[in-house]
Amino acid sequence: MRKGRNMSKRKNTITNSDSGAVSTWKRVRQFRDSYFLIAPFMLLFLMLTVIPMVSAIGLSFTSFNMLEAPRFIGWQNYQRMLLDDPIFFKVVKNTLIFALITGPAGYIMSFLFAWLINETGRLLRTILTVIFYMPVLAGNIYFVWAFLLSADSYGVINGWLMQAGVIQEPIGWLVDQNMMMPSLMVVQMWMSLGTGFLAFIAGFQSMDKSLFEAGSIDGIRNRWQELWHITLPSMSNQLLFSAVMQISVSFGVSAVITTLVGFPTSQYNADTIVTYIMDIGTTRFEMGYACTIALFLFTLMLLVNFIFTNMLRRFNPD
Amino acid sequence: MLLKRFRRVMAFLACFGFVVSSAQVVTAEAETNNDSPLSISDTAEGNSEYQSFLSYKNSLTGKPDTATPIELKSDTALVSEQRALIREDKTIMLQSADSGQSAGWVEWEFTAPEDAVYYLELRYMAYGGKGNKPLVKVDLDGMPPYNELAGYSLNRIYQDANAITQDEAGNDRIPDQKEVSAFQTVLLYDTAGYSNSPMFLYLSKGSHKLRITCEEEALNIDALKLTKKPVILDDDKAREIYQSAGLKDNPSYFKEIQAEKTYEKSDSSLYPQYDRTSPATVPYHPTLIRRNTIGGSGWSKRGMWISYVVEDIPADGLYYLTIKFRQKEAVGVTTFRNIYINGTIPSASFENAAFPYGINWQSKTIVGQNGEPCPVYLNKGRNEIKFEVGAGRFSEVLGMVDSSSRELNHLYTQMVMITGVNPDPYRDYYLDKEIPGLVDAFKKQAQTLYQAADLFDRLSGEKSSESETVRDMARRLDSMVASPSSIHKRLSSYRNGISSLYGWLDDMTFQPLEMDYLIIHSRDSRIPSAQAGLGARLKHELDVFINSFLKDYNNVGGTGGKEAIDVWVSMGRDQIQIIRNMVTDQFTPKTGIKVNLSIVQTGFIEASLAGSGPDVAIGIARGQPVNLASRNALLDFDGYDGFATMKDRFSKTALIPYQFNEKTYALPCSQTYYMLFYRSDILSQLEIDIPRTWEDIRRAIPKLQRSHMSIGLPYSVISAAAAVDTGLGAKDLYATLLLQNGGRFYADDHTKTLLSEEEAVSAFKTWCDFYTQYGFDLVYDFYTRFKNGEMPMGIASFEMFNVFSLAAREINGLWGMTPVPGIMQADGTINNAEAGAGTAAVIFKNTKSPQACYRFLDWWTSDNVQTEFSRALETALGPGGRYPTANLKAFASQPWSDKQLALLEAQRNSVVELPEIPGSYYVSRSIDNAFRSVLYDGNNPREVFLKENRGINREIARKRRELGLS
Repeated sequence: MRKGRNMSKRKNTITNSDSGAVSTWKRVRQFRDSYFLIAPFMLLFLMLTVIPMVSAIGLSFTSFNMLEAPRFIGWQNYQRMLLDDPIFFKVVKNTLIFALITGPAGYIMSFLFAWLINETGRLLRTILTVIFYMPVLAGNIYFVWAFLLSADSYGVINGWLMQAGVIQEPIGWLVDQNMMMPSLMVVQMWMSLGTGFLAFIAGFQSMDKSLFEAGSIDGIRNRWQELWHITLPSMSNQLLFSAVMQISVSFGVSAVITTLVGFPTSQYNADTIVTYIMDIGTTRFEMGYACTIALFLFTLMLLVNFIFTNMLRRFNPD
Repeated sequence: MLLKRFRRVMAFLACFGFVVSSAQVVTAEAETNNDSPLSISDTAEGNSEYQSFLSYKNSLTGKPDTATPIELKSDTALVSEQRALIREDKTIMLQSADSGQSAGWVEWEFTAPEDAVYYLELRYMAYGGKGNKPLVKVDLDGMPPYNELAGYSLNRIYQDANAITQDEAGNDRIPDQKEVSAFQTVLLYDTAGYSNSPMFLYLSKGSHKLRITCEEEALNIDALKLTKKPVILDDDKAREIYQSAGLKDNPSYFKEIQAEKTYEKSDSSLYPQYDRTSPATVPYHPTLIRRNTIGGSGWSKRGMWISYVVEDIPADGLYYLTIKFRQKEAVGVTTFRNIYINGTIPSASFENAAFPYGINWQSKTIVGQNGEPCPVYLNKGRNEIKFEVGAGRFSEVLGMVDSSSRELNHLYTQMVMITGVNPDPYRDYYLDKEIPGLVDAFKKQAQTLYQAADLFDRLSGEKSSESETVRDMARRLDSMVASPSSIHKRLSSYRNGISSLYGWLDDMTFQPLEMDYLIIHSRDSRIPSAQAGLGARLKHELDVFINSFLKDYNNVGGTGGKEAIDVWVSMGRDQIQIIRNMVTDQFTPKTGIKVNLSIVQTGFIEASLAGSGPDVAIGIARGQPVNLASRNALLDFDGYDGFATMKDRFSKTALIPYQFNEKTYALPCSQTYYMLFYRSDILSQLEIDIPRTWEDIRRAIPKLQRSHMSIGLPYSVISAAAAVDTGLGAKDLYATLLLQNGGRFYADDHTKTLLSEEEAVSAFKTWCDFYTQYGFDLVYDFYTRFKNGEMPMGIASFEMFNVFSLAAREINGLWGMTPVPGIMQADGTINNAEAGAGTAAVIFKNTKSPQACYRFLDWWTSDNVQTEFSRALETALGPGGRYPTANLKAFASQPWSDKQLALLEAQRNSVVELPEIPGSYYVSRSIDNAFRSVLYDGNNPREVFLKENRGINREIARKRRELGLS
């Protein structure tokens, strides 16, 4: 009832109103119930997301050490980031390698696993879903990898390999500078499987089964064609969601790294932008510069997300 | 990278083929190589010139032990000229070595009437000194008959000095502890906990000399009695005796004794504890601290005891004993106590009374083997009950496993001498032939271990998972016996097996127990349940939950009030309570300044940013003062009138790390530095003198490595934040080497490093060489390896001294501490400079009452207060809680022996503290990067070091610009 009244009023106001502050205020008053309902969320969103974001932009032009008032220094932080900080480019490189390998690989893997598991019976599917989602549920469980990948011969994986005679000397999975990144990627993929995977499973579940029937009448000959022409297009929402999740996760990797290989990692060989921000902000107290890098990361993620969504548009009927 | 891996695997396969085809050649070579090193193998595991009590005991089984007692007193005694005398009361006073005088001793020459085994009963009183346990050495005819008598530590007696009182917040205080000067009689027992039999000497008929030397502290000896073994009656026999004496059960008697209200105890660290987890604990409060239990993990070592006095037993007769206890620290293991009533163990069930593991409180009435409660005889009136940590019912098993591990370890060293630590798996070493009897020895030890495991199961009454560790090693030996040609491939797993046996022994000898109350009662008494009912538990949980919102558990209180200064302390709760008591009793009454204390470990910067920071912080990490000062958050001490006199409380360079722009922003609280620890027994065996210079160390390395031993050099893998906290001095050896080389980290104006100088680069090279050329371990467990003798020398913080003297009983008297090695100078002196580490106290700039803060820290760092704080802390926590105070006078007053103190002070005089500068966090990580790049990637040390140094200087310059310094 009430909603209906509001709707009709709204039409009136929109047609009758001129532009200007008065009419906006009027409109706010008119829809005060709706504003009241979204207020709690908007308040939190403003306080916890928008204000920090905006202040980060402001702080990125200052030198701020958390104890004294920020001092305006113009573009200096940006200059330093782009022209005078060799480590910055190293961590950007690491982040990109990390994101471009674990992101898509994790994405494809979670899709494939979801597709395969979807074929199994109800009970088995539930069990497998729980197993794959476990790393996400269990939170910081990745430290078990510290035992699995331990550098001495007591490490589980080293122990197996040595017993099987594949290697003689233990491999420093998390210590050797060349092995750090690959090891971390494996852990990260294992970690990130869960969320995207769950979205895909849901997507498969909610698909309209009659489409397959229609497809087979229209001449679909095998499962690959089915996947390409029917399944993927009808799951575009899930694909997009998973992609966004996967990208943000793989750009935001930090706790895994600091827990498993140290902070900062030896020679910054496995540091990402996020751990570098932590280093700059918390050990060096250079909040201004940390904000600059954070903004860079934000832009980078926006950009990659934009590219990804464009690529996925191929499946989107819209 | 994948390609590289693939190539590696292929190369490996090719090599494999080659090795197999040329196996003949290799084995021939092996044979020619192998005959040399066996000659020294016998010295490897013994680790000491004496045998252990167990093997001494085994060699004497069947000897008569029914000797007539011999009592040795002052009338027949001969005492040393120095540090010993016979007092007027006919007791013998012995003191340890001091200022040039050698340790005091007493000697008796006597005749043994027959060949027999004699047990040692000593009546003594520890006195004076600094509160450590007196350590004595017992020589029979010129030398200690076995290891345990080379350094035997004797308990003191302590009491609660006052009843438990409450502070203004209503929490119970820890009662003060005082020492009781009284004689006590002890039968010397096996301190390792591997035997229930007291220690003995075998004396052949004829004349003998027995000497007791006081190695540490001081004691009065009344008498030494050589006696026969005390008999413990079995339960039935005891019952018969009670019956024949006409003793009867005393009807309807019930008396509860609160376990925290002790009479006497062996250690000042056995003070009342608190348990808030169960509403059935007496006394109980859901949120306030009630000191309602005693013991716990601190009451766990063989020989520690607690006694109680019951005053009002109504009549002579038989009574029963019930204990409410909890044993949750030693998981899955039963622990044991010997219970003495008026000085003797009444019957067999009171020896090694078992207290099984469980996370909840339990009640236990002492019962005999038939399951019937076991009576004890109590006099009318006053009776004393004593609980002593026993060796336990498994001691025989432990003894078997111990001797087996020693033997296996000995075999290991022999094998390693042939194969090296990393044997080539594709080479045949013929170990079974090279070491005659190897396979038989394995068979025998496997047998022993199986027997030990079975015995363990039989004693514990079930096939427990605990015995699997032992059985696992036995199985491993079995399979090595089955295929002797595979032994060398499995050396590392063999080594791990031995370490897990040692670990198992450590677990099994850890005997914690917590007690809530004892009940002395008659047979028919109803014993209250040890656990609370459901209703009480629910109410308790609800109380605790609600109060978790209302109560600030981190605020320890103090003298409170709005105008009080806020002090944040980064220390444990025990430490803060002592500070709180000292503030309430002394500081506030004297100065009228009120203080509010809180436990806060981190987050000073965030709190200051939010405007809710403290006025004063105590115990903050080394790097923080300059970090905060350079950002204008601290008050300097130069503005305080008394600062000039305060400086003298600390060592010469102690203030340097806390100075910024020529002003001092913090006062040192604690200061630690490295010392060299060494195993005197192993060094003398290998004929190595205690090293004084790095040259000495280099000469010792080949000797050690020939026996596959190494030296422990400090290195810590820590995060960036921890590196800021630790500072440069205590992270690794580089700072020490740099300073001794005559180098410095920073230029005088702190604008750049001096690490490109030749001294700095060559110090870096020396440091890397220890790892790259001599192959020292980077990460290791110094405590275990020092104890096992694998690392007979190591450089570590002097705080390790307390760890070793407390926890490593098996090497009592076999190790020492000395200043770190240095570099011999042209004039013959040795430069053993090193940097230190430590914590500090600061005052924040936004305080409203700076003068009050100054006065508080002036008081806190003063000689008397630091002395008293150290003393109180050590009383509460035992020697393990010794506070490494930076105050020189207070440090000297701590219970170090004079010799130790002299060494520590000598080293402290060579400590050159390093300045902290804005950007110094970058130094430790860069040096570590260079170090790792040399170690792992084999890069040229000079090249990477200079490259990292350029990075450091860039960062320092940038940081200075950022902070507006240049």
